[in-house]
Order: sequence, then C-alpha cells, then structure tokens
Amino acid sequence: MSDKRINIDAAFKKMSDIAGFEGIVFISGQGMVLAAKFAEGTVPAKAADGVAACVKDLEDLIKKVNATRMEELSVKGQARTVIFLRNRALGFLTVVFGRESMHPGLAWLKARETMEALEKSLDQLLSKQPGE
Amino acid sequence: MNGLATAILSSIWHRNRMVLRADSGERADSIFFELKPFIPQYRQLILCGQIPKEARFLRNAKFIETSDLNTLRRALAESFDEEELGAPPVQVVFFRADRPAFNDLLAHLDRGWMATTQAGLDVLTAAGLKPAEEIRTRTDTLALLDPLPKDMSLENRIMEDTKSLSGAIKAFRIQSKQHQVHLAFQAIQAELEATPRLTQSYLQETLRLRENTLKKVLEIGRRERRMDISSYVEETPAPVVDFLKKAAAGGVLSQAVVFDGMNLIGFARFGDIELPSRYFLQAWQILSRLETEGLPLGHCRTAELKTASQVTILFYHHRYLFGLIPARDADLPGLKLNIEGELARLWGKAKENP
Repeated sequence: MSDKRINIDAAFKKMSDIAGFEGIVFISGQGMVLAAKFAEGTVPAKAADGVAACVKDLEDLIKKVNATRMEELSVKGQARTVIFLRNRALGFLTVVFGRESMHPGLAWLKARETMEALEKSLDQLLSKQPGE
Repeated sequence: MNGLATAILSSIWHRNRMVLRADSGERADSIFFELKPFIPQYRQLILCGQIPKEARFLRNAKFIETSDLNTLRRALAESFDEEELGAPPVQVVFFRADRPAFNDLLAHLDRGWMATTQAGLDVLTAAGLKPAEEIRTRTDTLALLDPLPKDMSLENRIMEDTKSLSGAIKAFRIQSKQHQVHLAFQAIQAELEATPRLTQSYLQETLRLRENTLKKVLEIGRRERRMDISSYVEETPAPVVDFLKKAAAGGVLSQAVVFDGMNLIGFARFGDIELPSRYFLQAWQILSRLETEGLPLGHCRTAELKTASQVTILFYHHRYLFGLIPARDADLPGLKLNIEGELARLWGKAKENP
C-alpha cells in the first residue's frame, strides 16, 4: 500500500466536523505510518510514529495472549482522546486524535465511514485495467 | 455421616489431637487404619506404644519401640523440633495408650498425635485432656481434643465431591489436595524470600487456588511448620472487594484484575475467559507509553480495547489500575455506566482515606 493512494486531505476534511477533532493517521499492518494530517498547533507530527510503535507492541501482546488482533481501541487521557479502528479488508489502522471532549461514538462512526470510502477507492484503483 | 467425616478429616489435616477409644485394643487400633487415608502421606508417621503387626508394613513409618516414656518424650520432642528446620511434619500414633502414656507423654504434646486406647474418659480428664468434641458410634468413640477448625469448607467440598467414589479414588483425591496445599505453602515461603510484597490475589492467580484454599494453605502451614506467614500476605483492600462484588453483580463480568503499581491486589474470574493478569498490566504500560512517545495525553485514565475474537477489555486508572473483561452477553454501555459510578464512589472513599 502506498501512501499516495490515500487521500489524506479528504479523510481529514470528512472527520473535521467532529467537535474536538485534531487529526488523523493511517498505519499499515506492519506498523508504518502511511499518511497523517493534524490541525495546526494541536498534535506534534512525531506523535504519529510514536502511536504506530505503541500499536505494534500492543498487537504483538494481543497475538501472544489469544492469537488475534486489535480491532478497536480508545484511549482517554485528561488532555486527549485517541481512537483506533482496524479495517478487516484493508488490514490497516485509522487513528483519530481529538481533545478529551471528542465524542468517541461519533469518532468511531466517522472513522468507519472514512475506511469504507478508502476501501471503495482502492477497489476502483485495483479493478482498473493497465493503461486504462 | 459426611459431616462427621469432614470433621475428622479436618482435625487430622490440622494436626489436632485425637483419641480413638473402643472396648478392645484391637478395635481401637482398627479405627486408626480406617482413618489412615486422611493422614497426609508427606507427614512422617511415628508409631509407638504396642504397635500392631499390620502397622509394621506401613510405608515411611518410623517405629520408636521403647516403653520408657521419658526417652520417648525426648525422641518425640526432637522430631517436632526438626520440623522447624525443614524436616517433614510429624504425625505421632500411640497404640494402646494407658494412664501413664496420657499423663507423662501425650498431655505434653500440643499437636500432631492420635492415640488408640481402651481407657475411659476419666483417664483423659485426669491427664488434663478434655475433649472439645466427641463422635460416638455404638461401640467406639472418637475424642477430638482440639476445637474443630473454623473454616472446613474445603474439607466439606472434598467429602461432598467424593461421596459416591470408591475408597481408593477418595483417598487419591484427599491426598492430592493435601499435597497441593503442602507444596503451595513451600512455594509461598520461597516466594516470600524473593519478593518484597506478596498479595493474596497474586498467589491465588499464580498458584491457581481459590480464596478459601489459600487460607487453608496458610493455616495448615501454621499448624505444620509453626510459622504464621499470613501477616506477610497482603489481603485485597476491603473497598476493592466491595467494588468487585458490585461491579460483577448479575454475571456481567468475566474477569477482573486490580493493580496497585506493579502489584496485583485484586483478582476475580467469573467466566470462561481467562487472561493472565500480567498482560493487563503490560497492555496498560504500552498505552501509557503514548505520552512519552510524543503524544500529550495528559494523565491517562481509561481505555477500551476490542479484539478480533470479540473480547473487550476495559481499563480504568486512578489510584489503582482496574482491568475488566465484560461477559460476552453483557450490555456494554450499561456496564460501563455502572462501573464508572462504582469507581467514582471507590475513589471518593480513597480520597477520604488516602
């Protein structure tokens, strides 16, 4: 998967009407940051790499315990909420960053829609004939 | 009948003193052979008095064949002393005890003996051995000289579980539980030397013991080794127990763990899902690392993790870390609301009594 195939601006725009939303990151199954975008002056850009490393460790732990993967995760701190969602078909994670007040349910919903949209656009890309 | 068997098993297991009385010496001796399966095999059997022929074939038995009560008293005192140095606990059996044996020997031993006798109750009373309980049949009497243990629930469960089984299988089940308890105590002793803080929850989980079995381990260890280590084993704080009971009411939880720093201070398993507690702690440590990885979370308070096998794990952190796995059919929003309410109450209390 190349980050060029992910329209990060469109995904960011779709999420930005959630109150408290600060940014979005896509992480590959191997734990690499594919694309990231944050609202200016909110989350430091290096946080995306840190989050990807933590998720990788967490997944390794879960696999060790019950041979499965993490599907969803929300972490709430005093300053910030982070939502993780794995798309089964695409295999990668969407991570949504927001202020502590960001509504997790709404963030899940929007993240799912973003994933589905991405899945659709990738399907279209893959079904195109060479030279088309 | 099961209740009597429970009382006898428990008395023997706790090394309480016991007198087996019958009209004839042979009959009194035969009661010992009926009770033999209740005596833990790891104990050193010391036989003395008029040892019957059939007792000479008992495995791992030591025979002290002297009629000089002073010599015998010294020999037994030495055996009891050796227990504290790590020798196997002793179980003394005195066959055909008479008045001098009760007066000059047995009355001076505070635990770990049984005697067969034809002597009447007056002989026991004259030696200062007043039975706490007497179990009578038509011809025999079992005088239990020490009060029955307060908690006999484990013994009761064993007798209940084995009531329809053959003698051999019943003996196996009793012996295997007694050995488990014995080995668990040894493990706890070793762990105490290696670990600065030992909690009841940690021992329950790692030794795979129920709460009442762990209490039995500590109690039997105290009776056998004269070593009370219960004060070194930290109990789950009462408010946490209260929280766990309320949070799990209605069968909504599968598992709950509570950590104080790195120490497991609360552990309860209600369903078929079983996750080692250290994984809860590791998962939380990874999540808490987000802050140091450059994501300013502020103090991390809660997390909700769902796995592809539909296991949900809830984390709540304040003074303690709570890791909870809801039951598969639990109403998650309702459960979370209830838990948050109970935690707010608990943390309110914690603030009052920091």
